Amino acid sequence: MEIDFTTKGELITIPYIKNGKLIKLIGKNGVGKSMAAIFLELSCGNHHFKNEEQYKEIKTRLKECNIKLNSNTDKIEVTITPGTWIYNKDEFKLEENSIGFFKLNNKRIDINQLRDLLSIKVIRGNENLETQIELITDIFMEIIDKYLIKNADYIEKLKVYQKAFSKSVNLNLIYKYREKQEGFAELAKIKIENQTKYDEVLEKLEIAKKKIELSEKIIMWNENDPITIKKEIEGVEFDIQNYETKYDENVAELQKTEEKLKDIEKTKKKQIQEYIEKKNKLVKSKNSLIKRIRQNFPEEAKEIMNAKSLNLIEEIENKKKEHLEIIQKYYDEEFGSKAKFIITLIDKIKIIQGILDECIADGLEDQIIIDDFYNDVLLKVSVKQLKILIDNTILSLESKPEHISLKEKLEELNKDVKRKSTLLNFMSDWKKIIKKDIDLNKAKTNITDNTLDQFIEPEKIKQYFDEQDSLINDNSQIKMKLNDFILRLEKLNERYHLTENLKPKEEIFNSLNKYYKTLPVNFEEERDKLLEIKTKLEKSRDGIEYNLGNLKSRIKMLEGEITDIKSEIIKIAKKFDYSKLNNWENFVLNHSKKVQILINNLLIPFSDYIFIAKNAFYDIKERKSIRKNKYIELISEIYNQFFLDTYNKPSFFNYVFKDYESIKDFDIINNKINFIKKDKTIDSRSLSDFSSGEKAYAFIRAMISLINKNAKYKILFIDEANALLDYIRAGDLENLQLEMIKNGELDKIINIFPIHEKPDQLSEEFRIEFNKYGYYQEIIKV
Amino acid sequence: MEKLIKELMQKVVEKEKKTNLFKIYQNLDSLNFESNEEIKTFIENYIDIDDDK
Repeated sequence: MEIDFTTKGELITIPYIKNGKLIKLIGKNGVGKSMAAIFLELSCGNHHFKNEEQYKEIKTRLKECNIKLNSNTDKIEVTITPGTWIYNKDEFKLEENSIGFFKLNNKRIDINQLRDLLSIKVIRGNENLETQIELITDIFMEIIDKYLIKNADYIEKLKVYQKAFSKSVNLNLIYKYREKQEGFAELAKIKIENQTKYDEVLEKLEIAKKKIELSEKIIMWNENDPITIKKEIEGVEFDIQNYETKYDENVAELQKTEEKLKDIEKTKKKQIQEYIEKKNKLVKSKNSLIKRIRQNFPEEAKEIMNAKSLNLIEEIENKKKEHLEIIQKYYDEEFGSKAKFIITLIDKIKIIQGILDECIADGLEDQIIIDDFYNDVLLKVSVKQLKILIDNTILSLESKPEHISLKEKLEELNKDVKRKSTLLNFMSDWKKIIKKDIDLNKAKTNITDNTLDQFIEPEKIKQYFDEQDSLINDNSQIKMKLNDFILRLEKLNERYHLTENLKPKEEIFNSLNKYYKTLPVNFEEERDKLLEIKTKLEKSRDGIEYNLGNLKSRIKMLEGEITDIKSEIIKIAKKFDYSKLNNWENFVLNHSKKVQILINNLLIPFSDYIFIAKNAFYDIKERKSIRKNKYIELISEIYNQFFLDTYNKPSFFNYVFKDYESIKDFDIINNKINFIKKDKTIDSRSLSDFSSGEKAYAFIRAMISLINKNAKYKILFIDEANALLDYIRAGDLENLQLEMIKNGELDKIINIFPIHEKPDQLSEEFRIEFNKYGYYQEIIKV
Repeated sequence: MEKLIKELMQKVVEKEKKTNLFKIYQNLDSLNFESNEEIKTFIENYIDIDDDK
């Protein structure tokens, strides 16, 4: 296999490595021998950077490196693209998917495919037995990674498969079918439960109804015993009679009282009438008096009219009386007895004159009324004559001057007295009118205030009214009571006949004994309790009836749905050569479950386990505490196994640890090798105890044997790694390489050396090559 | 090295008492799951419904 390098950027590589299985590549420093080895190792993701600085330096200085590996059958092309690199700080490596791109015979392949093709290992001079632990740890981790990736790939593929399988068999339809069937079974179960419950409820309801019926009959018997009812009827009839009598009496009494009250009302009306009459009369008298007063005494009228109270009237009256008395006194003083005599005489004679006029009017004018002697003179005088004599005498008396003067004065005085007297009379009349008016007003007030009782025995009238109210009230009470009694009587009469159609009480008790161990004491309470139970049972029955109806329709609907789904599933099953639904259903569900089991119970846990194991390798590499890892015993065992397999081989052991008889075991936890000495004793050596040459030799030999034997092309670079070896060990190593090439363990080994000779000391072929490229390649014949 | 890791994985699954996983593990290398038929056959041959634990 020939390898060609095309490198862009500041970093350079040798342009090519010749076709040959075992090659010595010798050159001057800086021509890119080691860099070519690094890039090839890096292309397979195997290169570990010393640190991040080294990574950054290469990423910055390298633009691109294209490596072509051509065998007789395969053309492998690797292009490293630093622009895409992602650095894994924990593992000092590149993320595998960021390295670049790869082709096999001009077709793109991924990193895993590349690894199947190529295994590149570089053994460097600065590496030894101790670093070997890190390297084999890396290899272990790589192998585990491979399993992790493969496992993840399985899981991914299974998920895709599961999805495709579910779709092709319509798994959801089967789930739906199952679900519907379960639903159907559940509904059927519920229906049976409901039906059982329904039957129980109906039975209980019937018993409750029967018990209620019998209890009610007993209650009816107890409540409507004809003998007791008969007595009650009699009692009620007696009460009705009493109340009717009482009612009649009360009605009579009420009539009486009402008549009394009617009389009182009549009296009241009469009083009103009387008042009106009196009032009218009084008003008339008052107006007439006022008119007269105004006519005769216009000056005093106003004062009198204003006097509306008796006191005021009396006051005015007294004043007028006093005034009259003064006038009379003056009369007495002014006109003595003499003057009064003549006037009196004239008045008396006028009386005689009047009598005589009456006699004349009666036809007695000629009758002699005086026929006797007076002073011896016979006097014979008729009525007429006497009348003439009297008239003359009056004329004579009246014609006297003193009499005329006196008479005039007297007349004038009399006129005044008369006026005053008239006025007093008017006053008296006014006073009477005002008094009457006041009295009438009082009467009116009493009448209008309906306080008639103030006029006629108020207490009695009140009593009448109270009696009337009481009687009316009593009557309505009695009437109500009577109605109650009548109704009661009607009911009693009804009840009296109720038991006529009932069975005898004893027979009912016999029926009840079927339902009760001990008969209830109180059948009313029992009946009420039973009615409550009955209501509850009826509610329960209605509820269950509703549920049953609902369940029936749901079951029917579900049956239809199940039939439809079933025919659909059978159609699908037939496509897969399944004729029986059960077999198909079992296969699909089981298979689907198995996929789930494989993913969730097996592969995912498997990834978890090996990931834990990988962590242990990581800790070993980093020299962290590894004792806590749960697989440490198992892991320690494989390190031991590796050591025993690698170093206990006689062909190896005799060259590396020839002072010992064999290796007992390798203790990775303490980083020690336990040797069995030739005297059978055990010698325990830490890896750091070995000399540099020993470690380097052991390491190189071991590394050569550690190349991934599964890859198609296994290429090893030994980069100045044998610098520390003595000539014996160097010779051994060369023989080992030949042996491995011969038996096919490796396909190509490139030993890189610095040039020690002067170029002119080289053969012509090598000198030309060296002068052209800065290195030359010697192919060792195998 | 590969063989050692396989042994390790075998012991790990034994330790975890995943017996069926061991069977799968034994067949893991030869499997590619390239076709649905291959997956189906594998599942039917190697997976027990009782492994649901």
